[in-house]
Amino acid sequence: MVKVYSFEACPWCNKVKKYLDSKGVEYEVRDIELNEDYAKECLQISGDTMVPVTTIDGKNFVLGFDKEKIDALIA
Amino acid sequence: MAKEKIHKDIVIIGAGMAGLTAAMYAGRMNLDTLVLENGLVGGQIANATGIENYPGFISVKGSDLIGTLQKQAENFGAVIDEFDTIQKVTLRENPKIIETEEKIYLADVVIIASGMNRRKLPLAEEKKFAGRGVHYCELCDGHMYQNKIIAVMGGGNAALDAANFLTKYTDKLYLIHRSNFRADEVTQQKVRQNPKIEIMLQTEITALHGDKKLENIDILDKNSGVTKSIAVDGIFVNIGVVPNTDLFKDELKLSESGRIIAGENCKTEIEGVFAAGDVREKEIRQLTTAAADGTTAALLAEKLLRNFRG
Amino acid sequence: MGVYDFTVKTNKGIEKNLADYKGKVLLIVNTASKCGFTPQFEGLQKLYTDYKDKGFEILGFPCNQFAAQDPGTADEIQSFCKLNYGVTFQIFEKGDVRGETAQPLFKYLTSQKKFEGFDENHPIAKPLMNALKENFPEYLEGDGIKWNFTKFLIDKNGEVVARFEPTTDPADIAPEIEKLL
Repeated sequence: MVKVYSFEACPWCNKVKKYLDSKGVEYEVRDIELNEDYAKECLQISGDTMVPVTTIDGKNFVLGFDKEKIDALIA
Repeated sequence: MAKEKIHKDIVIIGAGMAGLTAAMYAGRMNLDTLVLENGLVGGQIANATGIENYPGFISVKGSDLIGTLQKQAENFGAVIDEFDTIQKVTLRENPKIIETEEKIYLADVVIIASGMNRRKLPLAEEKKFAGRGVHYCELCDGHMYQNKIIAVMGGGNAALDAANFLTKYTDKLYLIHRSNFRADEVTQQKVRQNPKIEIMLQTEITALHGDKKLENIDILDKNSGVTKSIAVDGIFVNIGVVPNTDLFKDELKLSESGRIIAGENCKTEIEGVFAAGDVREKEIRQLTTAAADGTTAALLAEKLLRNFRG
Repeated sequence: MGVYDFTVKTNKGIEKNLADYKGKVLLIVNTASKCGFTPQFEGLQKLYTDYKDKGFEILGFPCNQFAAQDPGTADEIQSFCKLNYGVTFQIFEKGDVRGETAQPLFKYLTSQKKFEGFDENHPIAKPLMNALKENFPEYLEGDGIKWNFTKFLIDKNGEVVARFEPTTDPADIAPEIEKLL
């Protein structure tokens, strides 16, 4: 399952979600603002405090809206 | 696999204020309309906090204004694709050809409303350090460099103001610019009198180094030709804006600043190609003039199509 | 009536009586998250790290009442946003801080310390004033909370000793905290 670490006021997070919608990819939204555990997970994955972070396995991840990399991730 | 070819009455390049307004008008006139956007729908105002100079609104959030306009355009039948990316454009043929990563669009009319972006640091390492040493908003990110070494790149008012502001956080700031300052005299005076700022004119950043975060930058002194490496934790880039006209530069006449030359009627030198909004060379670039351009381009496009089809 | 008479809920939904903080120096702040420009979060975190072992606590109350973003330019050229979630001080449930719907705690705090104007030398003072004048001129009247990151300093006895507007950076509050510790 694809997970998107994000928060509501982040337009690039919304763009990633819309993109996954357009590809018919199911994903889980992990709101790092509302859920501290998700925030900690996100920090562990990317080592930083920036989102969107898109990942499947919690190791490989894509930071920001980067279509090519997201395509490779969900391929 | 060959890309699918799709005919459209109008393809609009860019979904900012100009492009979306054109899409709304074109949709209303029952033209088969496609808008292509590869950044944020809304362009420069997608993130704007409070827009206070759009008629009829005391203050409106960029995302609200754009969200409504997008819905308006879509209700009239325009289609907005914000994920496909344009690879190549051929405007001198009829129909005009717009090749994207996924499709080939054949369009009777093209409205270019691709706007402009702030200029990024033109180095390959920019991407690696974006947000971790390379920044564009001193007000947003300056605090990350409390007592660290900061560099500001640029020579206009915005860059010099940024440098002054950032000395609030640090005692050591390099102000790096490739030629002489363009900023006004008063602003220049302020930086020259600020003991925390070391001014480096006729210099250029040639490389960025660091493991996870930025640690060092290479600076070329253009007069002596000598490159030296200095320790820097964060660079704030303020080197102006760049019109998004790369795709069109072979076919259309561009102004000195890289914008498309077209009249107040938005017509370019190629029939059926219009330029609208900030991408068009003009004196006033505002949301309202972008909306006006979008309107003009769409209405004249419709007229052209009507004549053309008899 | 004092600060210790209030009960609030943490962001995990647990009820917390402010009397639990008796004997500590407190900084109560209304916070907000957004894309870019939340420098005060990190400043607050630094205060917390520096003084928490000496009996200092920060209580953050998230609030979306003010225009979703602070004045300041957002960064549309980078395709990501930063959320300041590296904070370890206590965050409470989201709620209002001004007007009729304000949480009782904030009604009390603003009744104790009046609004005495912004520090005009701070870089956000001008854009903030303009934004308020244009959008919420009524916010400028009276002593209600004007914007995100209004800070109230409480001494060890629960007395509200100072109010700092969004135009005071957390770092500049450090001397005041030291005096009370």
